[in-house]
Amino acid sequence: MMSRCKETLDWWNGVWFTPKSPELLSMVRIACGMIAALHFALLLINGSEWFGMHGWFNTDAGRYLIGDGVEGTGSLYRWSILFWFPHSIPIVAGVGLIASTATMAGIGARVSPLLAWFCLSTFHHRSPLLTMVYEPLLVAILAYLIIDPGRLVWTFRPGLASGQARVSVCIATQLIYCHLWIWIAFSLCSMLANPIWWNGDAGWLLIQQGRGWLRLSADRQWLGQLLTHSVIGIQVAILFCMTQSACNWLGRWMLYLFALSVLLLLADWMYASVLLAASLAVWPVPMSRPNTQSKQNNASNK
Amino acid sequence: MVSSSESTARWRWFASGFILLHFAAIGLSYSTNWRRSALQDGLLVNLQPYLIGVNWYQEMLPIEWISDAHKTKRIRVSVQESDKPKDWKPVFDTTQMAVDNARTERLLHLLAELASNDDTEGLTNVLKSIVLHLENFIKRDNSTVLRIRIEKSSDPEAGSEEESILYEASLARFPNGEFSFVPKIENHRTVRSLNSATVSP
Repeated sequence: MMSRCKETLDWWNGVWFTPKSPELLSMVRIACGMIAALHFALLLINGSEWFGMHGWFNTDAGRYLIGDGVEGTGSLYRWSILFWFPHSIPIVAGVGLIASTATMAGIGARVSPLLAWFCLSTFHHRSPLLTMVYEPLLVAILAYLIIDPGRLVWTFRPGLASGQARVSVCIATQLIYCHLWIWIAFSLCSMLANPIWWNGDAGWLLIQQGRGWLRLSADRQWLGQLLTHSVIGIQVAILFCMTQSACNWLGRWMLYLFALSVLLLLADWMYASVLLAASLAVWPVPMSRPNTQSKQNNASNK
Repeated sequence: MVSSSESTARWRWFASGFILLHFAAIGLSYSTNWRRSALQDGLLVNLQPYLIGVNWYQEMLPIEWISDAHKTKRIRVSVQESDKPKDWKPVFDTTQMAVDNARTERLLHLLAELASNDDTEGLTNVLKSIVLHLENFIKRDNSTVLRIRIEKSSDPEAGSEEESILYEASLARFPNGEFSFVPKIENHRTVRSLNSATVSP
């Protein structure tokens, strides 16, 4: 019994507290920084039109829908400064854009992802009901990158610029890994809770609504149904492959297929990009992964 | 004096505990998106300072691609304005979206859900925001909004489009510039014409 406990403890310590090279995490940081920069660039263009003083969704509407003043809604903890300063939207979006670009470029240690996370959360707290699918996942990855942003190009702290293996890299990578697993698991479960994902109607309805890139004529309904079942199957396969290091290549290709189905059915290229960026923590792009890193990653995932 | 191995072990216990609690809280938060028990509800309320404060509280997380509520083919918000009082001018339309598709679509589904659930206060808050935006941000020719309505067409799988008006209201304007919505009374709710004997002069 004691030996089994010790084995479990050793396994746990191996997964979470083994020093890891920061190269892999740097790839996640670059990809997420790029997506966040794009997100803030879009907010810089149309953020005021949506959330400004006379925006489509002004502060009064925002306050009502977060349940302001109603007990139990937790509106007390929604700390968005945009409620008090609706004119500051271009400033917040601009700071977010600079912080995300710095995160992508590897400048500014932990301050850059922290600032980017702060700005993204500010918009999220302002209108949680108008949040897009990719935002909660992106904001989570940015939060984990605050723990360790990977190998940096320039920083006041020389330790973060070196390629030396660190425990904090391992913790940040595993947090992204686990969060992605939970995300896909809940995505799958919420789909399975709805009959239209069982009878194959979901994909066909999405195609009919014209939300994605795929257009099909009425006689091709079977293809929509096939896509529906494939989306479910792909998510099951991804969840399985994430726990089996022997299925790395399959898992990576399944995630590519999942991202492709997001494009075909939803045309949400930002969501597809965030999924691909997060998956780099699990399955790095083969050509940029050193062999030792791959083995280390596989061993810890096991 | 605490040795470095002891402090490392203590630090690892602390970090491990935090990681487990963190994912338990996130799991709880995400799982309440499709079903919830009273126990989950109570836990969620207690965890609000952490979950909401650091942005892990994801109620109504838009994780699902399509739900029963989204089985509509089209949702449209349109207005009648003082310059062309006969015409319904579309403001938002799920079938004609160009920029910011995802956010517009979220707003339209939110409006449709508020209208379907008879949340009049929520609905008028959002519609007021839309009208103010139209009059103060987009309008340049001093025309004002007279009426607003939300329509949806549903049942795309049956192949027939059934248009229905979810909400329609006229705007009552006050001298101070404020306005309120006066919902159109549905036919079946209209009061029958009063007996002339009971009508006061």
